[in-house]
Amino acid sequence: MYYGKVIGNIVATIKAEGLEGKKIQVVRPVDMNTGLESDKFIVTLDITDSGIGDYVGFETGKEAAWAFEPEIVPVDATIVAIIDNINIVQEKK
Amino acid sequence: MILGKVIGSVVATQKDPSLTGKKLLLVKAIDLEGNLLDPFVVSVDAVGVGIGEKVLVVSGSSARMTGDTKDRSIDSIIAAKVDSIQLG
Repeated sequence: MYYGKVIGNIVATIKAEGLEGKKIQVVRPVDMNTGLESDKFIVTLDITDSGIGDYVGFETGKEAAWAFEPEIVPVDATIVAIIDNINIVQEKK
Repeated sequence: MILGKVIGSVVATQKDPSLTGKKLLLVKAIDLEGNLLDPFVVSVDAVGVGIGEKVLVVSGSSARMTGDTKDRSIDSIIAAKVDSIQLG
């Protein structure tokens, strides 16, 4: 799962079978340690109810399609969680 | 999924039998403003789009998860035609 921020959404009427009724979001990956947003972006489906500005966890690859099981959905990126906060514990050396 | 723009088509007469009848389109990645980026991909059209249209491209094994592309040697499909993009 990767960490990112929802920055927008996409409307598409003509879609492949399986994508009907699915929300399409634009996500910018975010570095977990620094909180810096990447200049790249990825287009994802969404099984949560995320909105613009939310920090989310998204899956890529075939796992993104498994999020919709038993439905068969042709997708390679899906938001599977809305992230409330991240706790990183620094180990003492 | 990758945001892209259809910039052309590819014609191949001799190909894997599983690709017979599939429309191959050349898609170039674009940024959110619609500017063309360097990467491009040859993608099977699963929805029926034309040259110049903004599309969403699904890659990898997920591309074979439609009835038309199942069990075929396909790793990239055009899965949707983009109508509009809203940015927050």
